[in-house]
Formats: sequence, C-alpha cells, structure tokens
Amino acid sequence: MRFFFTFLFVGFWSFAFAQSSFELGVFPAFNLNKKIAKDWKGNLKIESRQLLKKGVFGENAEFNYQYVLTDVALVVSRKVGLNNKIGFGYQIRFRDGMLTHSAIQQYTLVGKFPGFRLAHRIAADQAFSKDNPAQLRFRYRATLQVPLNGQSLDPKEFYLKLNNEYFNIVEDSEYDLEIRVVPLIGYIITDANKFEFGIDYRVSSFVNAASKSRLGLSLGWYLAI
Amino acid sequence: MKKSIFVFIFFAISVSLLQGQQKFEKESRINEREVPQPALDFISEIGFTKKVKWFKEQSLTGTTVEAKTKFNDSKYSLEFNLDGEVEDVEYIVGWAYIPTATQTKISDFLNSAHQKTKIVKIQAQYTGNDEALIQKVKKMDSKPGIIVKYEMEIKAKTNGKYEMIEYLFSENGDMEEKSIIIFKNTDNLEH
Repeated sequence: MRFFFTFLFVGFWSFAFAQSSFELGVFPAFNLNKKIAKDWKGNLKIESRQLLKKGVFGENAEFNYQYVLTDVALVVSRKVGLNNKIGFGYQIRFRDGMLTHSAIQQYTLVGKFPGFRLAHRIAADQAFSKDNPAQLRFRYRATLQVPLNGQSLDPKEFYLKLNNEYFNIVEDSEYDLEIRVVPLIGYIITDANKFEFGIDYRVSSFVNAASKSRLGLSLGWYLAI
Repeated sequence: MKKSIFVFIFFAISVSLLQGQQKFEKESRINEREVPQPALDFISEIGFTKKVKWFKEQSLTGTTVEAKTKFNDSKYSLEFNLDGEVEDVEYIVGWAYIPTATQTKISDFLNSAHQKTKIVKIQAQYTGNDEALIQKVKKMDSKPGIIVKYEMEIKAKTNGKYEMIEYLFSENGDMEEKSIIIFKNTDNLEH
C-alpha cells in the first residue's frame, strides 16, 4: 500500500512539473454567512488572486507583484436533510476590466464522525463573458476537518483542514481537468468566526497541453452573523 | 396581568422541558499529569492494554475528566468527577446487545415519538461501586449493585423535520432523558 501511494505521488509530481509553467501567489477570501429564514442561509464570498511570481519550472523567474482578479459570489442554500443542503448562486469575476458572470448550483453533505468531519460538495457552474466562449464546470470537493485538541472542535482551538477538489471543465468544445489540494490550519475564535491559512495548490491543463501549476498562500475568514 | 405573565412563563418553561434540553459539551485533550490520582488508579486496576487518552469535558452540568480507550474490540469511555471518583463506564454496543424485551419497549417509544428513526450509536452505560464496575469491564459480567442504562444517538424525523437526538433509556427501556444535539457551524466546510 505504501509503495502504491509513493508511486502515485511521484508520478503525479513529475507529471505536474515536467515542462510545466507555474504561478506563485496569494489567495485571500472572505465568507459572510447569514441565516435568511428557517432552513435557508446566504453566503457572500469575496475572493481575490494576487500573483507574486510566474515562470517555467527549472528556469529563473523574478518576483513581480500583479493583481489578477476578484470573485464576488452569492449562494443561497436550503437545508434538505439533517446535514445536507442544496444551493443556488451567482458569481461575478472582475479581471482585466472585464466581467464574467457565472450561475452556480451545488449540493453539500457534511458528515460527523468520531474525531473528524468529512464534507462532500458537488457543484456545477456556467460562466459567460462578452469576449470569451462559455465555460461549463462540474466539480467535486472532499473536505476533511480534524480538531487538534480533543475529539470535537470547540472555540479557541486549532484544527487541520484538507480540501481536495476535481474540476471538469468544458470550454469551446475542449475538455480539461483541474485538481486542487489545499491543506490548511484553522483557528476557531467563536463558532461563528473562523480563520484559516495554508497552501493552495492547483494543477491544470492535464489533457491537451503541458501542465500548469498554481501555488498560493490561502487565507480564509468565515464569519456568520 | 401579573398572573397571566407567570402562567405564560410557567407554560413556556414546561414546554421547553418536555421537548428536551439541548446538548452542549466542550471537550479538550489533557495530559495524564492533569488527571486526578484516584482516576489513574481505577484505570490501572482494570489493566487496559491499549493507550488511554484523557479529556476534560465541560457540559451544562459541570466539568468531568474522561478516559477513552479500546478494549475487547469495543470503544470504552470512563467518566470521573474532578476528585477522580468514577461516575460511569460506557462502551459502544450493537442493537443485539440489548435484551429483547427492552428492545421492544425502546422501538415502541421511538416509533410513537417519530416518523422515522435511524440509530447512529448505542452505548451501554454502567454505574455502581468501583469494585463492581472494574469487574464488569474486566470480565464482562455484572456483580449486584450495578445499574445499566442505554444511551442512544439517533437521527430522527419528526413532523417533517430531521434532528439528531440523544436518548437515555433505563434497563427496562423507559425513556429517562432526551437531549437535542446541536450541530456546530459548518460554513467553512460547505463554501
């Protein structure tokens, strides 16, 4: 089993980095959550991407700060079971003076187990902009959350969070796959106020070209009012 | 006017008590050095073979020290007060562990109280004197003077609404306590 995982890891690593380009940046995000009515909740997410370095693996690349984009998304979700929700939303992406509009649909399921929580999110989005072809994405994300003190997560405690997400992207009849691995350390100030930081690693362009890697410092703030 | 306010408050309190309290617990891992000596002695007397993890648990009824370990293929949880005196011993059991007559009574209760139920976890809860409890854990048989209860965590649908509920049933299957389990905020896992 250990050999299998080593093989998989080395294979993935060399596949991702051979002749591939990279971007190094900072990905801050702010999430504001509010209960709208019984079983209904709203989530406003503002996420930005800033670039610090860009280049090809194995070649010299200089530090060069660049603001890339900002996403503003509003998702309204409804509880449909004990621990599952369906959500619908809309996102606007601001990039290079251009707007991209996306419709979002998602289903989330959060499982509680002794000593950890495991969440699944299945989502689809359709992006439209003035000058680019429509982009359709179908994504699945698994999130593991493990408290670092005791078996349950309580205020003023740290936790580990690991996101692993798979994006299936169709644009102009071409298919691509993007994989995200995001290990984070979180801190609960109160049950409604959490802060997370860690590494956000994204690899894409698997299918039709040399792979493209993005590595960023992920900073997240979740506030519920 | 005063009387009607009093009646209203009394009614509101009665309804909330009948509906069951909400379960609040804050648990944090502690070092063995922070554990009261009598609790360590109790654990040492049983002779668990696997590592014992210690926790401090704060609830609405007070603070306790809890030992958790695996023994005879079951997960054990032993609760002590802050003086190190044992309060109860719990371990995870299956539905088949409960005597048939008690099973029937519990099933009848759950079916009458809810539209749908799914058992998530059952713990046999033993209370009694130290010697009897040690005997119970070591040899899995009971000396007189031990009281057994069943703590059940269930997913229930009531009036179209899903809830997680913790029930405590007596040895005969009488419902003694009901607590609604409150889910913690999981926004950071959904978005």
